[in-house]
Amino acid sequence: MIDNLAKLAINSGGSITPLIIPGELIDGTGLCNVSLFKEENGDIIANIRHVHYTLYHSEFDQKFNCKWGVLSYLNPEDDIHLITGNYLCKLNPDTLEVDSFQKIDTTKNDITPIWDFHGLEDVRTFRWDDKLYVCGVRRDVKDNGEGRMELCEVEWSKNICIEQTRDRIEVDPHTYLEKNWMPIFDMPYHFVKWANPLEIVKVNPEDKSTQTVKKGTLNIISSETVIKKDDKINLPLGLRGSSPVILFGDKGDRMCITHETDFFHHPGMMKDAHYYHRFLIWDKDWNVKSLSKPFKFMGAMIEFCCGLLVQDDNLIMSYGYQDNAAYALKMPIKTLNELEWEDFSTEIENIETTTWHEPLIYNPLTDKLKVPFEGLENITKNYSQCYQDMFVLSCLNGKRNGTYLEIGAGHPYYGNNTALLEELGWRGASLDINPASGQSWEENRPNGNFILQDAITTDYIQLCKSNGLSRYIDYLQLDIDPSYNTLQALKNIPLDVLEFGVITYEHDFYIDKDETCRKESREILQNAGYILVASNISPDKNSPYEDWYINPKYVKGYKNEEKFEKILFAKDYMING
Amino acid sequence: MDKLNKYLKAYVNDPLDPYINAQLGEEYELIGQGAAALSYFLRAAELLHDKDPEMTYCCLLKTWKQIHNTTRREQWELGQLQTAVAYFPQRPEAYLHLSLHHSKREEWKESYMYSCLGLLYQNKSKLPYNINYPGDYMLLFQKAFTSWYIGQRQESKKLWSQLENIKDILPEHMVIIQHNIKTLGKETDSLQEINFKMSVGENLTTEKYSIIT
Repeated sequence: MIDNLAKLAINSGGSITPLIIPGELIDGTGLCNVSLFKEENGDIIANIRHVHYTLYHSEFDQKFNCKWGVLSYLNPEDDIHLITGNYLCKLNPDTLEVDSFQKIDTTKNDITPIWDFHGLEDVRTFRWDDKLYVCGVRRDVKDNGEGRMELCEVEWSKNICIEQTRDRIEVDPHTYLEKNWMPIFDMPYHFVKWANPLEIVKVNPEDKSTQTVKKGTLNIISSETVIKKDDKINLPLGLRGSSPVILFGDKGDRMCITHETDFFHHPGMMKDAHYYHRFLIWDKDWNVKSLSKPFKFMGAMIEFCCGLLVQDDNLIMSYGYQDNAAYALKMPIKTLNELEWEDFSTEIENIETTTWHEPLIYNPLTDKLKVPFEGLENITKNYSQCYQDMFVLSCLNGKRNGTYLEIGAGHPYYGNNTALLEELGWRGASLDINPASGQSWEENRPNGNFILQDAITTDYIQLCKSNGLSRYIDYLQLDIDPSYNTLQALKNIPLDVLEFGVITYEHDFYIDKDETCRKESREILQNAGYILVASNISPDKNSPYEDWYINPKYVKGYKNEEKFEKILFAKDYMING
Repeated sequence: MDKLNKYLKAYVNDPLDPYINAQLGEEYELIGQGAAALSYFLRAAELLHDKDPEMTYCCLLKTWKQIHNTTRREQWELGQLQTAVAYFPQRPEAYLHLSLHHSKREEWKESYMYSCLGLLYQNKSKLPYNINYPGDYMLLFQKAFTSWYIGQRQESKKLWSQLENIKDILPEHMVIIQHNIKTLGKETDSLQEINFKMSVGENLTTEKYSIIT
C-alpha cells in the first residue's frame, strides 16, 4: 500500500499546494474536503469546506489523547453544533493557490437547523446545463439527523456568491442517510450512488414537490436508479464515494477516487479509524477496468478527497487532512503506472488492520456448539467477537424474530453482536455516540435501527416506546468505551421496569485497574435477579472483558458459573473440544 | 507562504520527522491556521514523547495555544494544560497558563496555587517555540495579583514592589504594575478596600490585571 501518494507525485514532477482562507475569517478552525471543477475557459473552481471546529486526533502511540479521547471535535463549548460553511474559490491554474474566494451565502434558503450537524457537507461543485451547482449532504432539517444529498444552484460573480436554489434529492425506498454521491461531470444530473456494485442514479430537477418539516418547507426532487450492476468486487472494506467521476483518456473511460474506512479499537478500547482511497476506472460501458490498491495521500489517519480533474498531463486531486487542512496535489498521469493495482483474477488481500482481537468465528463444519439450538444447521456465519450472538441463540433456543437493545453499536458487522440476530428476523435499537459508526451502519447495514445517542443519558423507557420495543426485550448488549461509561449506561437503565432475557456486559476487567466496573455491574445485575452464567469471557486466555447473564424467568437450563474470578476462554466455553 | 511551502514539501518527504511536523505547525500558526497547526504539533508531540521531553512539552502547549487563540473551548484548554503538566511538571509555562485560566474565572485560590507551583521551576532554558510565556516574572505577577484576592494583601503589595524592580518586563505589564503600586499604596483597612472590583483598563492591551480598591 502507498502510504504517501503526495511524495510519489512530487518525486514524479508533481506539486502540492496548501489551500488557505485567511485565518481571521475562520477563527483558525478547520478547512478540508475540497472539491474541484475546471471551467471550459480553463479556470479552476474549488469549493473549500470550512468546519467551525478543530479536530483533535491523536495518532501513533496516542500518548496525548485529550480530555475527550483520541478523536475529538473541538466545537465551541457553548455551542455543540458541528457547523459547515463553504467557500467557492478560483485557483491559480499554475500554482493552484487560492486566487480569490467568496463564502456562499445560503440565507435565502436556510431554515432553522434542528440537528447537530449544520450546513451542506462534503460539497462537490460542477457545472451542468451552464448552471453552477454545489451538491453535498445536509442533515440539519429533521430532528433525527436524516441526511439527503442537496443540489443547489449558485450565482457567483465578482461581488456575490449566493445559493439561489436548494433541492433535496429524495430516494425510494426511504433510507436514513444518503451521502457522498459522486456527480458524473459529463452526464448532467447523474451520480454514482454506489461504486461497488455500481449503481447510478439520475435526479429529476423537473419533478419537484415540497415537504413540510418542523421549521419550514423543503423543495424536493426525485431520483431514480438508471444503471445497476450485480458484479461486486470482493473487498474487505467496500468502496464509498469520494471524488466526482470524470472522463479519463480518449476511449470513453471514466475515473474517480473512492474512499474506505477501517474502524478499529485502540488498546484503550477507544474507537478510531483509518481512511484510505483508491483510483477506480470504468470503461465506457461502466465495467470496472482498473482499481488501485488503497493509498493515503499524506500518511494521516483521516484524509478525505472530494476533488479530481485532469489538467494537461496531470491529475489534480484535492483533499482534507485530519479535517484541519486542505491541499491540492498535482500528479503526472503517468505516475498511475507506478501504483499497485488490484488483480481481479486472484483473491484480494485484506488491508492490514489494527484490532484488539480478531473475532472468533463459529465454523459450522468443524465447531460443535456445547448448547445447540433449533435452526443451528442453517447458520453459516456469525459476527460477534466471542460468539455472543451464538450464546444468545443458545440461551433462547435459536429464537427467530426476537428483540434486542444494543448499547454500543460499533461496527455494523465486524465483531457485532446483533448482525446475525437481525438476519434471523430480530429487530431492536442500536445506540452509539459515534457519528462515524452511524455512517458505517447507514452504508453497510441500512435496515438496522442505528440511533446516534448518548447511552448514558438516554431515557430508555421512551426509547423503547418510540422504537416499538416492549418492557421485555430478549437481549441486552452493554459495550461502550471506556468501561466506566458502560457502567454509567447500566445505571441509567430502569431494571425495575425493563426486563431482558440475556445480557452481555463488557466490563473490560483486564484494563480496569481498580475493578470497579466489574464489581459494581455484578452487584447491580445480580440484585436485579440476573444470573451470571459466564464470567470473565476472554477472546484469548488472559483478557477477561465480559460477563454473560441470563434471566431465569425466561431462560432455562443454564447453570451459573461458580468461580467468578476464573477467566473463561470464549472458545472453551462455547465449543466442545 | 514560501516557508509554509518549504516545510510542507519537507513534511511530504518525511511525514514522520517530528521536527519538520513542528516547523510546519509553526508556519501554519503564523498565518492564523490554528487547526492545521494543531494537527502537526500534535503529531510532533506523539512522535517525540519518549525522545525529547522539552520539545514534546512545547508542542503540547502549542496545541493548547491554537485552541486558546480560537477561544470558546476553555474546558478543553484546561484539560490540555493539565496534560502538559502531567507530562512534564518541572517547567513553569503550563503553570502560568493554568494560573491565568483560573484568575480569569476569579478562582483566586487555584490561580495563586499554580503561580506558586510555577515559581518553583524558574530559570529554565527557553522553549523552541513561542507559547505566550513572557518570562518567569509573569508568575510573580500572577502571584501578586491573586494574593490580593485571597486576602494576602501585604504579600500582594510586597510582590508588586518587587516586580517593579525586575528588568525586561513587557511595557504593558509594567503599566499595570505601576498602577497597582500606586493604587494599593494607600494604607487602609476599610471594607471598601476589601470589597474591591476588577476593572478592564481601557488602555491595557493584555488581560484584566488592574485591581481597583
